[in-house]
Amino acid sequence: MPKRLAIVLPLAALLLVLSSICAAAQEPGAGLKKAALALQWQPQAQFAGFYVARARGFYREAGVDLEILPGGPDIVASRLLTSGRAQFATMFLATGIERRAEGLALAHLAQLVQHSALMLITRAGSGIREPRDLDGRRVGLWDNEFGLQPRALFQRLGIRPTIIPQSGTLNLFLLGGVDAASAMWYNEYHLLLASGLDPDELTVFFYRDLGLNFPEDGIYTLDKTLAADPELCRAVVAASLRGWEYAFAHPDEALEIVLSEMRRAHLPTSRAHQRFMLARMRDVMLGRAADAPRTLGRLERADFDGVVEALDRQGLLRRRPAFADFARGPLQ
Amino acid sequence: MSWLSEKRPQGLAFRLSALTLTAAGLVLALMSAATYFMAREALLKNAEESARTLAQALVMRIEARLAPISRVPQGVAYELEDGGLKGEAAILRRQRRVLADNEEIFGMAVAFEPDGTGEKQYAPYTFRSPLGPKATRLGGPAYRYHYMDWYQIPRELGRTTWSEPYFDEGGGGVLMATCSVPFFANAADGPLKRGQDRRVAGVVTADVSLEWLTRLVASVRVLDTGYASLISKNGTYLTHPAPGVAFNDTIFSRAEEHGDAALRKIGRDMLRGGERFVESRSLHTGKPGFLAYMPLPTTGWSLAVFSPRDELLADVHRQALVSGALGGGGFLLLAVLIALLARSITRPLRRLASAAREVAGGNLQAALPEPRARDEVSELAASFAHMQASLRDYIRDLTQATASRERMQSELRIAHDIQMGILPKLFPPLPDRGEIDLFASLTPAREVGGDFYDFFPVGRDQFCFLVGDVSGKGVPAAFYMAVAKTLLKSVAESAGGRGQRRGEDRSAERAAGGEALKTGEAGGGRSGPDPARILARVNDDLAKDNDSCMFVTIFCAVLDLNTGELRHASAGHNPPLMLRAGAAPEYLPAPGDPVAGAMTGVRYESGSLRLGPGDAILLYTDGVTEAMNPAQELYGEARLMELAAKSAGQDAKGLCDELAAGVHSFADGAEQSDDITLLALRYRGAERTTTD
Repeated sequence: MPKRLAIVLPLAALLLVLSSICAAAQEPGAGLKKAALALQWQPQAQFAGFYVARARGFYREAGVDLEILPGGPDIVASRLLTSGRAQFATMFLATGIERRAEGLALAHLAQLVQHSALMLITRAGSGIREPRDLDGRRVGLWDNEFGLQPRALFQRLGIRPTIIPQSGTLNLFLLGGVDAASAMWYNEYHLLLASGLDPDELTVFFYRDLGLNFPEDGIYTLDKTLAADPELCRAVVAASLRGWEYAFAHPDEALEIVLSEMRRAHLPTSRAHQRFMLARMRDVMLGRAADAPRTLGRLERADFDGVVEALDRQGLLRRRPAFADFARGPLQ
Repeated sequence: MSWLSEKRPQGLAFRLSALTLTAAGLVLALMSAATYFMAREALLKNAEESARTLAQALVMRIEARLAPISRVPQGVAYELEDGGLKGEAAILRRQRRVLADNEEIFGMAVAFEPDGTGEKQYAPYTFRSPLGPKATRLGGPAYRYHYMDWYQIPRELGRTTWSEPYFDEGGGGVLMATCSVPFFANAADGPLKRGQDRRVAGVVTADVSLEWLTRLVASVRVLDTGYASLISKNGTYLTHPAPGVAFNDTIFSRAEEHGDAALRKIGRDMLRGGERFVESRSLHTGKPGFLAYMPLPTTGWSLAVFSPRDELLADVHRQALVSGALGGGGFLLLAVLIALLARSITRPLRRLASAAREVAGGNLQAALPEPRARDEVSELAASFAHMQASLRDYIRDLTQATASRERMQSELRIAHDIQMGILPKLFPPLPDRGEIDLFASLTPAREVGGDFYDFFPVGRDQFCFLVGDVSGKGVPAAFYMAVAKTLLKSVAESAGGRGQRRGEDRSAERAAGGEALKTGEAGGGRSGPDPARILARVNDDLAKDNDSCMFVTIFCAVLDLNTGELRHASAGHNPPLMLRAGAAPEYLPAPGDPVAGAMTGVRYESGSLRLGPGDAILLYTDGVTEAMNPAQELYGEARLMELAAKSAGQDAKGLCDELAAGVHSFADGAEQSDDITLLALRYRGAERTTTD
């Protein structure tokens, strides 16, 4: 149950130091710029493109010796940016806007997930047929950036569900402790299927279908990094996009790379789950047939404005960041 | 009798053996199959029983250890509710005692419900460290336990729950599960009382090491490759023999990865607490088999035991193999015995067959095999012997009969030659006189017949010709014909001769009592004998002593070669056909006189007509007009007249040939039933150079 942080953290730090010493010793490094990318969560197919780009040597070809720092429950990517441990980080668009509004000089370089994968799941027999039926029901919500769309929805509908803070698992939902649970399409939704629930036993609401399409994963850096080495930023973005395109074109190879990365991190690996996740990442990044066509890596002004509006209405913005100051990526 | 030799490869022995062996083989196979299936059913039933028992025993062993553990935090919770544990020191003391008394419990926390803001978290926790029990406090901004499953789930559900098993890194990476028991307090402070509103005041947890559990389940061996596996409440494999499955996959993700819908169904039933014995294919070994599963009531997990089918059925298969080999051996032995038996039965038959072949080849003296036993074959042999004797007798009789028949045949042939020999064959009949053209033909129906014709001169210028038909056929008719013909000629010639010696013998004639045969009183020298008188004489001679009651029809005519005058008489004969030159043919009117030879004293009438040059007369017997075709139609006088009219221009021979051919083609292969006789005479007119 509780993580023995006292033991784990020094051990992890030791490992990191050792690995960086090894890396430094092995790599010739001549001509390659060193940089680190902090991901917002542990290795999984959600980040397949980055791991594929590194494994296939796309970063090296772009002249970058990129270190990937996996995220986790105790790691905040923006903090790694400010501390200088990482030069690049991935985070949700809403998070990026909030940090920028808080005064962090954050520059948006590329928008990867164009379509929000966040969803609400209820059991088909729960009597909840539309979002309005959630009024007065027990709804499991994650906090921070995952809570923005639900709160905006409840506000818009004028309903007051009982909010139950949701842990990292859906066990409470599986045991009937909540009527509705939050889920990412590419992850928790499939975990429910992999726990024996059939799709027809579930009713799902996608926020993107409810007028709350908040783009998610994007690549960020600090203004000063962009100013100091725009070439590096462009190279990292280009190699990452190339990695993603390669992953979608070669899903089996990408799956192997992700799974070996997960095993290295001692995470549970289910090939079926990661396969589902990679397929859904393709859907949320490239869009499904029904979605309006988007350019991978480009942030649409309308999406930006929508998120800023929602954040502002919930009183989360001290000031509204300007689009031109925020979106500084090569595809803008 | 050649069938025996021709069909030898599929002889009786073969068929007998094949039939018996097929039946025996079928019975044997059916018995083996029935035994096999019955044994298999029994074994499978047995296997189900033993798989259930095995699973049950495992479940009971696990429950026996897990169920008491969940009562430990429950006891602590009761004490907290009753206010028995007050203050951190008391809680920590109790935690130490729990760890000391319960080996499986790795750590125990008493986590209190934080206040509304979540800032006031309080959770004393004692756990085993390498250096002995160690106390600490959980909670803080980085560890908000009230949002964690081990706290949140029992709190929200208000009952004891077991967490999903996990590997605890702090505890040395051992497999653990946390048993969490909520404890309650009154809405107001104070000890909990029944019936009052209550709220969750916190959660007592016990972290339980599950190493023993996974070792226990993993150590289960069913036959050679069978195994047991355990899944948690959300389907995660806790133990599984395949590497990389436990804690990575759920039963459902594994089913998805392998496209195994049946496994997903089984998984759903397992999570519902189902208890079943089902057919299934192991994704691990790829073998088909049976899965027995049942739930672990305390934790809600489910245990499955897989038994591979082939190993379960190995005994049955071995038994089936042995019984199959025994059955096959017995079958072969039976086959040899039956083949020998069948050959011994058919050997006398074959010997008899070869003897019969010899008999059939003509050796009626061939020795038949002596039957050894009194059975159907010996009866057959006796019948053959009888047949052989009968054949010998028959052939002897046949030989004699054939000899006598051949003799008769040859005699008949001679009679035929004689009969044909007495008919005149000289055409034209008077080569030195050109007044007439005559031709006659006779086609007998058998070797000898009753038809006849004749022609001869009577006197210097008189020419007699006639056609007769004796009643009946064959030898008697031939004899009668010979008599009639001879009689006719002698009577006619004698009358003709007398006529030439005009008046000389008239007294003698009368003295003889006979009637004068000559009619022409005036100028009798030129006139020939009277045909009516000839017929009357012949009739009287024939009718005398005619015991056989035979008779003859005759048409007799005498032609004066100089004048063409023709006198004629008919004894019941077919009317001749007149073919006058340049006129249509016509039949001579019949006077209706009776046949000759039936009775004496008949008077015949003579008719007279004159033939002009070129006129012809056709005489025939009823063999012509009564010839039949295959449709039983008579040739008839109309057809004869029609054909005669067409052929009138021919000479006598041509006319006869044409008419005979016409009758033959009409008969169209139908058997000729009567003699066919044709006589044609054409008068060419008197010659100048006649001597008279």
